[in-house]
Amino acid sequence: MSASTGKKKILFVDDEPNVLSGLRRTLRDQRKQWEMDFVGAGQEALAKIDEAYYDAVITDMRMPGMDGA
Amino acid sequence: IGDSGDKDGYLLIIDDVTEQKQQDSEMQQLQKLQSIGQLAAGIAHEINTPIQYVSDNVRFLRDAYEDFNDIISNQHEVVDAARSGTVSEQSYARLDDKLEELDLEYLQEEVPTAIKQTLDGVDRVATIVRAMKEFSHPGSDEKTLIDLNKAVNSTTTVARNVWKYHAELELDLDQTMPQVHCLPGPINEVILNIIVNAAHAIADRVGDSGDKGLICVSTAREGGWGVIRVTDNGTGIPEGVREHVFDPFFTTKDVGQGTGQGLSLSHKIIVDQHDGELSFETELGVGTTFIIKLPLQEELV
Repeated sequence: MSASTGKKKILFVDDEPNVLSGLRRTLRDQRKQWEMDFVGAGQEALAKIDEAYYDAVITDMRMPGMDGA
Repeated sequence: IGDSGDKDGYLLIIDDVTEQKQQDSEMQQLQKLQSIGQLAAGIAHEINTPIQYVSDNVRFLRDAYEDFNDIISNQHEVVDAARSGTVSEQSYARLDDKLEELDLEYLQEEVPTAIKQTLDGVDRVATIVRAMKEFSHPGSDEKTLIDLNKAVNSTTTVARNVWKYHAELELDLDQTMPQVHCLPGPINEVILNIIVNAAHAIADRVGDSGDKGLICVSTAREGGWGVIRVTDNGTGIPEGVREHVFDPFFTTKDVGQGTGQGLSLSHKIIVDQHDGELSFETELGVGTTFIIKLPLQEELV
């Protein structure tokens, strides 16, 4: 949980930008409960996770370069 | 025979090739079903992706519409009050709260993008479905005039999930290419086999490095030929393998990855069924180009 806001932190990973923006829009309703980040590749996701603690990571499996596993 | 007069008989050898022909065509059908089966999973994924964001965006638009409605009815209250002469501080405050709560500015910015991406997604699905229809060509077992550029377009679209994780695709299509008299299904099958091989060769080279290779597909008119070239910058074909490339059941792929029939059937389709030529140029570590040549009809050249 984010210390500053008390919200759950969730990271979304998908190589398709349109999928990410779709998720960002539908999940906006949750913005009071969740702090959400969206990234386009496995490498970026790992960098994010190094920077900060996330309560959950939701990721696409098949992506170029690094897969979701 | 002939007119030398010293031969008075002849030997006639008859071989019934019906069964052989039938086996060939069954094998071709089997290979086709197999590659379509492999493609189906990839196509499902390709269609699923746009469906997912279309659905997310439409859900967002539904909620945005409710928010807009909310704001409009608040504004109506203010306007009605203004008409009757007195707008209370509370109704102004309620409207301001509403605007802030719903973040009108965000909605005004996001709604057009959400609509655009929804339409993009629907177009994407339509393109894939059209490509599948063109690729499979149901019911045309006879030679017809086909547009090779269209065949390349639909085949690369149908196979997108096979190459997109490891390669970019570049098309260089000669728009002046006349139509070519051929069997549309089998020709698409040949293009597919070669693109799948190109994708595998690149995947073998780049592995999980995250690098992407390049597949170039070009069409050109060269003399009496309609020519399709598929170039990859994959592993290349090693010596010792080159002479077996078109042998039936010869494969260097893992079990389950390749049947060893793709190129042998492709060769049969191009050479035997279309009087064309199928060849390749390859360099180890640099890549491979497969060249499909199909005869153009005289009157069309």
